Amino acid sequence: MQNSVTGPTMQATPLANGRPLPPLDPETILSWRKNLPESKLREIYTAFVEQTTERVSGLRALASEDPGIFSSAVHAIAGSAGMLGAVRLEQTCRHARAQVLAGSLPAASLQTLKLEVEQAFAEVRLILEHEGLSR
Amino acid sequence: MSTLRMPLSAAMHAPTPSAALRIVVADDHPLVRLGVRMLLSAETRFAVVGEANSLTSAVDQTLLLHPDILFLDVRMPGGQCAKTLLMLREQAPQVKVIILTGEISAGRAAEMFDAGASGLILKSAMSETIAPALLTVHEGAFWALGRRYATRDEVMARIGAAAKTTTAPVVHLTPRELEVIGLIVKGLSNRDIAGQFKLSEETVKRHLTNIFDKLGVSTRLELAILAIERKLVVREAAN
Repeated sequence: MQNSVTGPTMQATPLANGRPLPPLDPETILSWRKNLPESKLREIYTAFVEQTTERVSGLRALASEDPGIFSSAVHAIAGSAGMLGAVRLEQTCRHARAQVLAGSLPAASLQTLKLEVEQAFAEVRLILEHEGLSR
Repeated sequence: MSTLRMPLSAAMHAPTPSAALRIVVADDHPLVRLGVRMLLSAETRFAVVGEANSLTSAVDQTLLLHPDILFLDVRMPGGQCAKTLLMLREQAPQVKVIILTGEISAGRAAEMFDAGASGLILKSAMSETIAPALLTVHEGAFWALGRRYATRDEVMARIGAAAKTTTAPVVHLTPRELEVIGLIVKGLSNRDIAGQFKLSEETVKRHLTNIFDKLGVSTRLELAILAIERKLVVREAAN
């Protein structure tokens, strides 16, 4: 995983030729499992789901289309998602942030980006619940 | 934003095993701090003695608590990470700093080590690398890219080499973006590309803006060279 840190941008989980990422990276989950008992693992994934639910709701409710507020919100989601192996959500957020910071987006596209983030989170939340990793 | 501090009395008098490394965790994401705490609390070798959610409180906690190691998120409110590192190098030279990050460019990573960081951990690899990284930097060595380096020069050289590595792409490129890159390498214009994919020229321009941003290039020529060097396009497209 660490060896993928190459090129102008360092990322933990690169895509190979645009192949879609899984919602959850099994290697990352395995690594957390090795280091934490199951109860602690559930605790941290539950906290992730709770905090991200709040952040995604906040994103949806953003009245302002201020790129600064938007990018800071998705950056926060990306950080914790990456740490816990929610790689598709992480990449969706990083992609959204890059687009917003590039400044080339019409306002309507921000709505699309918000929906993409919501969808990526919904996918990973369902899997975590199904796996018993969040309450 | 309010700063997060462990109560001073609690932090200074909290019982920690005598040989445990004392650690301050500075990250504006509560979940990341929780993750670090959980991972470290599983081992008696480590003790988290303070937490901070801004650069300002990270500095305060470090100067107050004199930890062995400070985990510092590279992007936090309250200032610039590199300036903070330089300041800490002056005022608390005994404290080793490990940078925590979700992603970072090679240039920025080099800047962090140049400013005094001893280690760099990707958050996505945190669960497997946090313990070896802590022990390594405590010994006076350096940690980056998932491994130990004896000297700062070695780690800087490795980061420099990483920036030039011509392996698989490390950024998220969609299939359409890869197709567009293939046609740029062939020398097609935006109009030609639009025609080929039955898209508007505006859409092609938007794809290009995204590609430039992701790959850190600013011209079609730079893009073509990078795409060939990093094998982003199949041979047929490059010919």
